[in-house]
Amino acid sequence: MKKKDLPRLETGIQNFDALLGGGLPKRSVTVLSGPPGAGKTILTQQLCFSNAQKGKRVLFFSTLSEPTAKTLLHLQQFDFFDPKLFGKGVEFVDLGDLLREHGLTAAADMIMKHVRQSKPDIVVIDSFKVFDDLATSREDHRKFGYELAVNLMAWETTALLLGEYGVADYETNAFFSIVDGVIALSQREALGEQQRFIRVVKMRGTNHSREEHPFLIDVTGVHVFAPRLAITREAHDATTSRCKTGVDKLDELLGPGIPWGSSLLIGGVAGTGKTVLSLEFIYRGAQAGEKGILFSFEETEDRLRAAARGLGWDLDRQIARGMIEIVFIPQPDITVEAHLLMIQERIKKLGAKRVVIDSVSVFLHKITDPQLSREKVFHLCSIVHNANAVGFFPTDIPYGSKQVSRFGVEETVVDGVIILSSTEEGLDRERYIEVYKLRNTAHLKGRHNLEIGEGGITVFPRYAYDGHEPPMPPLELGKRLGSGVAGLDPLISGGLLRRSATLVSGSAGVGKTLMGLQFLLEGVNERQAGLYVTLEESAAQLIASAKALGLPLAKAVADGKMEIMYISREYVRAGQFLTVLADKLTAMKAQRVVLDATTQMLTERMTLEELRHVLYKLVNRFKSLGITSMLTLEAPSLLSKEHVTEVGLSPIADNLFMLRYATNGVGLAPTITIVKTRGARHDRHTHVLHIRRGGMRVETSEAPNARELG
Amino acid sequence: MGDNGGHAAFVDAWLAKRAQKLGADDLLALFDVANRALWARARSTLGEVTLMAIAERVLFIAAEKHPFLSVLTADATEGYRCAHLASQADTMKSEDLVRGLRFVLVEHLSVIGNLTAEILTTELHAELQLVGVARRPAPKGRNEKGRKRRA
Repeated sequence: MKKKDLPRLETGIQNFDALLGGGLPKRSVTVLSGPPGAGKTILTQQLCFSNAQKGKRVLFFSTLSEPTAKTLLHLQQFDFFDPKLFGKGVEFVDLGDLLREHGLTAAADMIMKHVRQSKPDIVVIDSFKVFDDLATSREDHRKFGYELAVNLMAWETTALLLGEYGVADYETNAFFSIVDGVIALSQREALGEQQRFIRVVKMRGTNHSREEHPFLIDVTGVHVFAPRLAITREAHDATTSRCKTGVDKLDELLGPGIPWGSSLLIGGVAGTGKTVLSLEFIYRGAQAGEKGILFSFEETEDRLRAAARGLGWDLDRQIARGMIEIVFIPQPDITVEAHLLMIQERIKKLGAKRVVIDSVSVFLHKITDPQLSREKVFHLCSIVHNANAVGFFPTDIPYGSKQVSRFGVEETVVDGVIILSSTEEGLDRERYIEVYKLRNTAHLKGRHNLEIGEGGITVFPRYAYDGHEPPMPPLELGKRLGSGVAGLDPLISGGLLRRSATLVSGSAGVGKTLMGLQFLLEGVNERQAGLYVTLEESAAQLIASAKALGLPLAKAVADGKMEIMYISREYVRAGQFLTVLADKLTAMKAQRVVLDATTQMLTERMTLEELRHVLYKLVNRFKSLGITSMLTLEAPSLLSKEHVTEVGLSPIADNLFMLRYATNGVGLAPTITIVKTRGARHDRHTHVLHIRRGGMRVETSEAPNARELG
Repeated sequence: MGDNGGHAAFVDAWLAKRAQKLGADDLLALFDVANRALWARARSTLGEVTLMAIAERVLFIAAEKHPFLSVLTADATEGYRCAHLASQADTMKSEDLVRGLRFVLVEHLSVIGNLTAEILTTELHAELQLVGVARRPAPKGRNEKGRKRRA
C-alpha cells in the first residue's frame, strides 16, 4: 500500500510549521507545556484565530486558570484577534464552575457535549493541568485522559492541551504516553538577553525538529525562529551570467565577474572603506537596474544618504525609485535568529539582486562561539544564494591580526573574500584592495591601490599575466621606429623595434630628457601620438627648454599630437601608476611613451624591488598596447662607470643606452654607449653626443677616450 | 465526513446485491449481521473504548440526519443495537429505512477509515462482502443476540 502522509493542520505561526514537519498532525492530541508566562495561551490563540480565518471551527475550553474574561481582554491587543470570529469561528467555553462543583467526569461530558454540537476542527483545553490536580488518583487521571483523547480523536479534532508541565512530568506522568505530541515552551537568559524558546519534545508520525528554537511575541503574535529549518539552501540551475559590480575598475580585479548567488566577505579594520565599497556596490547596481538592499547596524539611513551625497551619488533618487532599500537595525536591538529571517523576507520582498550586511561582525557581535558564528554566516550565504543575488558582508578584522575575518572561520563559508587595508607610507596612508578568494573565478591576485574620493571608489589594478590580458606580443622585427636623434639609428640597425622598451641611463644634465623629447617629436613627424610622463620638470619647463633648442614641442602639444603629463614624485603611487598611464595611453591612442625619470619613483614609499616590479608591469602593459617606450634612469654620479645592470633593471628593457660624461681634454662631453639591443646587432663603441640648436645628435666617430670608458 | 475509502460506493453495491426487495424485518436483520461482523473485526484492533467513541459520533450524526435513528444505541461488545428501531420499522417507508441504515454503515466505515488512514478498509469491506451471501429469511424474534453472521 502506498504510504500516506499525515494530513496536517497549519498553525499560521511563522516557522512553527517547519519545526513540525508541515504542521500539527490532524486529529492529534498535543500537550503544550511550559511555566506561567511562557506564551502557551498566546501561541494557541494565534493558532486558533489563524485557522478560524480559514473557516475552521475552534472550541476553546478554559478551566481553572486564567478566567475567560481576562483571556478575551488580553487577546484584543494582538493583531491576529478578529472580533468577528469570536463566538463563530472560535467558541469559548468556561468549564471553571462545572469543574469546581462536579469534577472531572462532568467536565469531560461537557466537553464532549460541545464537541458533538460544534464538530470543531480544533479543541483547546487551557489549562489541562487542572485535571491532574482534581483527579483522585493517577489511575483516574490516566483513564480520564485516555478516554478524552479517544473521544476527541473519534470526532477527528486536533486537540491542544495546555499545562504548566515540566520535564519531570514528561518522564513520569503516564498521561504523556497517551498524547501524540508534546511541545515545550520556556524562557531563560541567552546571549545576554531573556529569550523564549520552543522545543518539540514529541510528535507522533512526524520527523520533527528536536532542537530548541527561540521565539518572540509581539503585537502581531508569535514568531518562531528556526533558521536551520527555515533557511535551507535551494538548488539552482547553473548559470553562466555573473554580476559586474560597476565600481570603477573593481571588475577588472574580479575577472569575469561574481557568480550570482555568491556572498563575499569584505574584510578590513575600521576606516578601510568597507561601508563605502558596499554602499557603492548597491548604488551602482541600482544604476544598472539591479535592486539592492543594505542592512545597517551602525549607520542610520540618514547618515548613509549623507555619505552618498558627499561622494556625489544620487542615492536618494534610487531609494525614491524603489531600487534601493536601507534597513537600519540599531545594534542593541539585534536578535540574530529573528533578523536572519527578517533579512530573508526583505530580500525576497524587494527582489534584491544585491545585498549588503553592514557589518556582519556587528550583526553577530553577541555570538562568541566561532562555530556558531560560522553557522550564522552560512545562513546569510544561503539567503543570498536562494535569492540568486550577490552579497557583500563587511566584517571588522581585529587590528594587527592576520585574519581575514573576525573569527577567522567565516571565510570558509563564503564564496569570496575581499580584503581592504591601509598602510602608512612615509607621511601618507595608502588604501589597498585585494581579492583574497573568489570561487570559480579567475581573478587578479595581490594588493591593488584604492582611492576614495569624489565619485566614489577607484581601484588601480596592477595588471598581471594571469589570463586577463593578452599575452605580450613579440617584438616586430620588421618595424623600426626612428629615435629622432641624428646618428643614433645607424648604431642600432636602423631604429628602435616597435613595442620595444628602451632604458636610457645617465647622470643629471647629460641629455636623457632631450633624447626622450626627440623620440616623441620624431613620432609626431611620423603621425604617431606620444605621451611624455615627467616626474621632474614641469610641462612649461620642458617646452621652454625645447624652444631654446629650436624643437617644435610647443606646437606638437598645441596641435594635440603629443601630451605632457606631469606627476610630482611626492604623489607617485606605484599601485596607481600603471592604471593611470594605461588609461591615458589607450585614450589618446599613443604609439610612443617616455617616462622621465623612472628613478624619481624611488621614494620612501617604494623600494628598488617594488620599482623593478612596477617597471616590469609597465613595460609589459606598454607592449601589449603596441606602444614603444623609453624610460630614463638617473645615474648617481657624472662620471660613474657603474653599470646600469647593477640596479637590476636591464632585464626589463630590450635596449639599454648608457649616457655618460667623458673628459675630452677640454672639459666634459656627453657620450652614449649602446649597451644592449634586442633583435639586432649594434655598435658597441662609445660616441660623443652633440647638443646644440636643432637638438641632440650622435657623433658617429668613436669618442677619443672610449677605451677608457669602455 | 470525507469518504476516502470508497465506502459509500461499496456499501451501495453491497446493498444492491443483498438488500433488494427485503422487507423491514429482513433489512434490520441483515444490518444487524453486518454490524456485528464489522464491529468484531474492528474491535480486536481498535479496542472497545475507541469503537464506542466512534459509535457515539456516528449515532449523533445519524440522528441529526435521520431523526428516526436516534433510537439506535451502541454496545461495547456487539456494536449498534437496533432493537428499538425494529418496533417502529413496520410504520416506516422501506426506502427511508434503507437510507438510514446505509448512512450508519457508510459513516462507521468512513470514520474508522479516516482515523486509521484506511488501513482496515480492505478487511472491513471483505467482512461486509461475506454478509448475506446465502441469505435466509430472518428467524423469529428480530435482532436476537447470537444470530448467525452469515445468514
